[in-house]
Amino acid sequence: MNRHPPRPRRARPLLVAGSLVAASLAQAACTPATSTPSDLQVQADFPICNAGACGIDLTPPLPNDGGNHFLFVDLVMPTPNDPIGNSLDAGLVDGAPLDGGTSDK
Amino acid sequence: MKPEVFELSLLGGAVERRYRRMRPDVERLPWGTLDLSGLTPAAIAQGRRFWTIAAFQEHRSGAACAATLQALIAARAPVDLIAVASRFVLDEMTHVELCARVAGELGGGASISHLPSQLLEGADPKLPPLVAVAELVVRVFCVGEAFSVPMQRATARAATHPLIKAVIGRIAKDEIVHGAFGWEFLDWAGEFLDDAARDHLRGVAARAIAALERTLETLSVAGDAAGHSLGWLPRDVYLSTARSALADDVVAPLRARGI
Repeated sequence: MNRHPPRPRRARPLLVAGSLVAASLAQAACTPATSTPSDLQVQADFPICNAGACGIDLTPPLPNDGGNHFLFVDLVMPTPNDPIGNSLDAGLVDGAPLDGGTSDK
Repeated sequence: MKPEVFELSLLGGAVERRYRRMRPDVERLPWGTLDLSGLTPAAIAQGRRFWTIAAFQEHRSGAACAATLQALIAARAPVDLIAVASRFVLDEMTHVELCARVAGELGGGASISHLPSQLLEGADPKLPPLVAVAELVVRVFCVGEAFSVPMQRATARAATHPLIKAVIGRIAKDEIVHGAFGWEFLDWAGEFLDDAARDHLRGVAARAIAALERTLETLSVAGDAAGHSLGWLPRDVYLSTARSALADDVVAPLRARGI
């Protein structure tokens, strides 16, 4: 019998994405023409304007988004032409960019 | 495979204490001193995004250094050369922590989704071991890391806030060793690389450089001038520094080695 079983240990967060602070920042930075404040308030955990104008255009999928109203996800990933670790190719993971691909990548 | 949100953790306890002993410099930086009072909310948001992406880039660099290390071992590179490279993964993980903590000082990370299975592009598995590792070294170190050395130096020089300057300076100091590694490898491996291998490496380098040139506009940060104090160069300075870095620190030394 193991008299000293390993104790489960929970790691502490180092980097946490999309906090409530970001929600207030996103609302402050969004332009009225493209933002949807009421939805932003509902989706406070994943703040985003619907055209990426707020600059916080990197967001995970939203629970009731349907992939249409908000930017679905801005994916930062390597591509075959992307040198490892030093360049960036960010794009939408699903469907066409809502702004025709001119959002802040 | 579903994209995953890029979030990070520290285990703490004895493991963290061991890590801190390996890199005691991290805790000596002036954490908690970032004054956001003169910055607009948009600049702060941009800073969070910038430093989150920086953490992700360092995370990818860690994966690239680990892949290169494995390939060096497989190719039976000189033991001391492998041992030097074994330090790079630790360096990159330290950089990940540094960038993540700066994002934390700005209020937290931005949300980035990524595919963990596609963190890096490996070498062609059909290549002989030495050419395979040479491909990774050229792409990761001779282009990527060699490019980042002058960029980090310029950014560290331009930074004004003590924490930002210290973080970028710390990263820049490590990158100097990383940047030199690619040339040290090629200076050893050169005599074993035949014409076909050199042709292959020339293509690898050309594609990596072209991809980097295409992304310069993306990597440069526009926007709030006040935000430049948060760690990035103004767009025009970034672009001119980047073009000089590519010409002088990447293309010229590659050509000098016949690649």
